[in-house]
Amino acid sequence: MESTEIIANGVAAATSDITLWSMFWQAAFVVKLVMLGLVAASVWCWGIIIDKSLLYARTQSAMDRFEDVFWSGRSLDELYDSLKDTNTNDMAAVFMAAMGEWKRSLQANAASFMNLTQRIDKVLDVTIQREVGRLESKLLVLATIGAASPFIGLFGTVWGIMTAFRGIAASKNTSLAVVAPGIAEALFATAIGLFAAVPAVIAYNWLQSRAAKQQARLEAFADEFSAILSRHVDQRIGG
Amino acid sequence: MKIKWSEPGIPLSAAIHAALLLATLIAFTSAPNFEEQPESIAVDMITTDELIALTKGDKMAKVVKPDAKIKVDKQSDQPAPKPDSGEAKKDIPTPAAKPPEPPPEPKAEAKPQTPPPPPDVKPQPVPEEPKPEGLKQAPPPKPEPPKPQPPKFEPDQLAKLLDQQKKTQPPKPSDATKKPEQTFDPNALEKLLQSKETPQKMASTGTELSKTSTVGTATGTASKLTLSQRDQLAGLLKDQIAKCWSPPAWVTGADNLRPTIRIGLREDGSLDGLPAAADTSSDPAMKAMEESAIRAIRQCAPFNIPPQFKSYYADWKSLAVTFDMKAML
Repeated sequence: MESTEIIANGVAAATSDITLWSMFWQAAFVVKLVMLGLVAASVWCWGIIIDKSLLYARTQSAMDRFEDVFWSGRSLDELYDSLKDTNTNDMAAVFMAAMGEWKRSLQANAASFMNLTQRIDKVLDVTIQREVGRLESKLLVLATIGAASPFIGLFGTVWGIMTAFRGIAASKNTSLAVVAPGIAEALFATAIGLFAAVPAVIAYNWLQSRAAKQQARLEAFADEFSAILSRHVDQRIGG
Repeated sequence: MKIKWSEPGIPLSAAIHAALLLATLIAFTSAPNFEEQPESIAVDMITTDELIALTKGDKMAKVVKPDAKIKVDKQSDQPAPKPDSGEAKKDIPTPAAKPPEPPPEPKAEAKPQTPPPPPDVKPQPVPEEPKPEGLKQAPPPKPEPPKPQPPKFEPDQLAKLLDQQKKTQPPKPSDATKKPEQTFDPNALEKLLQSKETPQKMASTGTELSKTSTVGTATGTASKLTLSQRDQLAGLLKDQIAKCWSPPAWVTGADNLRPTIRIGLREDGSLDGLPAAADTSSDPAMKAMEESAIRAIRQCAPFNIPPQFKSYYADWKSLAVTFDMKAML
C-alpha cells in the first residue's frame, strides 16, 4: 500500500503542479504568444505611464517658474535674451515663438506691422499645438492597450480551453483533475490581459485630464501674451 | 541600450515587472490544496464472538437480548445441532438440501440400505435389488413407485442401466444440481444420507421453545466460502471484467495503482446497486483508475457465476475486487 501511495503522490504532483511558471510552459503555443505579448504590452504601458507622469510633473513646475518670472515685471526683451540660447519647452516655447515673430517684424520695415497680430496668433497656435502634441504623444497607446488587451487575453483563454477540451476528448477522461490544469493556464491569459488593461485605462484617463489642464493653461497664457503684444503693436502703429 | 534619464519609463517598468514576476513566482510556488474532510461514520467495534452471537437471530425482531435466539414454534426431538463452524457445510451439495420434494422419497426407501459401504455404489453392479429399482423409478416422478417387484434379478440389464445412467450424467457433479427432478444422482443421495445437517426448512423447530425472536441476521448460519473458493470466484469475476476494462492511458505508473472496488451482486450475477470504490482516494490518478474499473464492471454487468457458488450467495453478495493491471491485462 505504501508503494502505491508514493507512486500516487508522484502522479498527483505531475498532474496538479500549478505554479505560474508551469502554467506558462504547459500552455499551447498560441496561448504562450498571447501571454508574452500581453506582458510586453504591460511593460510598455507602464513605461509610458512613468514617462508621462514625470513629464507632466516637470512641465507643471516649469510653467510655474516661467509664470513667476514673466509676471515679475522684467522686460520682455530681457526675458527673451536670457532664454534665447536655452532649449525651451511648453510655456517658454510659446513665449519665445511669439517674441521671435515680434522681433523679426521690428527688425524689418514698418509695413510688417500691418498683420503682425494675426501672425503672432498663428505662431502661438502652432506652438501650442506642437507642445500639446508632445505632451499627449503615446497616450493613445495606453488607450489602445486598455481597450484591446482584455480581448487578446480572452482570445488566449478561449484558445486554451479549446485545447483543453480537445485533450479531454482524446483521453476520454472527464475528471476535474484532468481538466483543471488546462483551464487554469487558459484563464491565466485573461488574467494577464486584465493586468495590462486595468492600469492602462486608469492611467489614460488620469494623464488625459492632466494633459488637457496643461493645454488649457498654455492657451490661457497664449491669449494673455497675444493681448499684451497686440497692445504694443497698436502703440507702435498709433505712435 | 542607453538609458535616457528624462524618460526612464520603459527600463524602469521592465524592472518592476521582472520584480513582480519574481515575487509572484515565489508566492505562487504551489496552489494551496483543499483540505480533505473525510466524513465521519459512527462505527461500533464488535468481536468475532459478538458477531456470531449477533447472527443467530431475526433481522426484523424488535427485542434485543444478550442471548440471541430465533423464534421457535415447535420443539424438535432432535439433539441440539452443534455450533456451526461454516466449514462443515461445504461438502454438502445444495440441491439435496434445498428442494425438499425429490429427496425424501428415495431417502425413506434407501434408509435400510445404508449398511453397504459407499465405494461400492457406483462402479459395481452389485446385486442389490431395491437400490437399482429406486434408480429405475426415479426419472418418472410417480407418486407410488411400484416397489414390490424385486424378484426378477437381471444383473446384465442392471449393468446396462447403470452404464446408461453414467453416460447421461454430465461429467460435473454440480450439473446435477441444475435439474434435480430429471436425473437422479446416486452420489447426491449418498451424500445426503451421510449428512447430519438439519434441513433449512426446519428453522422454526428448535430444541427450546421461544415465542419471540431476537435481533440478528437470517444469514447468520449461512455457509461461508473457503479462502480458495473466494479466490476462485474473484478470479472468475476478474476474468470477465478484464474483457471490458480499459484503464486510463494517461495515468503513469498505473501498474502500481490497485483500486479496490466493492461490488454488490444478486444471485443471478447481475449488479445489485452501483459498484463503488472501497476506499476513496483524493489522488486523481487513483480516481481515474477507480472510475475506469467501475465502468468496466457496469459494462460486463451480468456476471456468469458457476452454480457451485450459488449456495454461498450470502457470502459473495458483496465482494471487494482488487484491480491489478499487471495481473489482469
